[in-house]
Amino acid sequence: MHPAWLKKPEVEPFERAPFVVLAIKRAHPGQFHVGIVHRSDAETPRLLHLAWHEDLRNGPPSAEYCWTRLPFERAICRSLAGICRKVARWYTEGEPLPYGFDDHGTAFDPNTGVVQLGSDSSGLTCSTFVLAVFRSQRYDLLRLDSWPNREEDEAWADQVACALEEDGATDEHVQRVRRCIGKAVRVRPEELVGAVGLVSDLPADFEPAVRGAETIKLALGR
Amino acid sequence: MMQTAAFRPILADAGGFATAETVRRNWVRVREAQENVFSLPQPDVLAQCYWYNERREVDLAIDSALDSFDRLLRGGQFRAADAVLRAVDVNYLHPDVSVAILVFTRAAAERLTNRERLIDRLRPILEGAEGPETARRILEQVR
Repeated sequence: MHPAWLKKPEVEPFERAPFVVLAIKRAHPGQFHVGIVHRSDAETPRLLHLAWHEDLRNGPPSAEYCWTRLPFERAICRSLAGICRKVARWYTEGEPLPYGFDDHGTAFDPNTGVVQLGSDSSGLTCSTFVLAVFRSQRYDLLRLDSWPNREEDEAWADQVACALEEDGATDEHVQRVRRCIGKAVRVRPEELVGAVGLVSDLPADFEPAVRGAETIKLALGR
Repeated sequence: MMQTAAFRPILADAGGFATAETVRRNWVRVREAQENVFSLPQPDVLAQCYWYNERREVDLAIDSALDSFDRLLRGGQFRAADAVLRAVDVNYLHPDVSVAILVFTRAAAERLTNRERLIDRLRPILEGAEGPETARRILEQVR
């Protein structure tokens, strides 16, 4: 069961997709991963995604990723692809981007491409990274005040903090991440892509995002 | 000449101890002087963008426009950015480049009075290139 709004690259390749699309894959059981596939006329498509702490990547998307359109006109998508190239240049060649939780005050400076962490933020997840890129140009994909704080998300956040510790993140960063647990709501990758796939008039609320997420789980596996 | 005149009051203040208020006032004057200098028409700011556009390298022209506005807006040069917007040649640039300029200046829209005029100038070009309905949606999405 594959919804029409969730495209398989073997059927509709990234080369023929709009200039900017959201891409999602099932990373592990119960865990999805999201990024932005952007392209220009001259270059092959690139997947810009926050893979992990200080690990922003911008490379060719693998065939595991399915994609969905954003409800923006072609010319707007082409401009947003330019923003992706700028963010990629800055963070893959320069400043490392921290993985953590966000109070949704975080955005990329629209002028510089530099991330501005909100006061209670410790970094970004793969989902909030995508949201921040679009928010930098005042394109809000989700209505985050409709997102609930869920108990199971706190357990997930705790696992992330432990993993960061094991992977050698600084104590200061891990402490900052832990301070955000329970405060920052979690946007799951499948909710973000589900919302964008289902809702044409963004920003999307939580309810359609959950419906979209369920559809993605059915299509890609839980 | 303009810079000399604009900076004169700052030098006049420099005789005594600098109070916090003097420092603040001088800083405001410096920013105003910078704004005056950079609010002059900036024909060269988008030169590289136009060069890529001429070569039909639309995406490179978009990247160049982004870098140009980045430099101006990051430096707080809103009047200069506004002057550049006034000078954008919508008849010459690929419509996608003009749209990109509107996207990149969206976050500073309130401070750029010529942005709305650029939208008005671009409308007929977009209607011709994309059709009236798509043009309407594009311009709605850059507002």
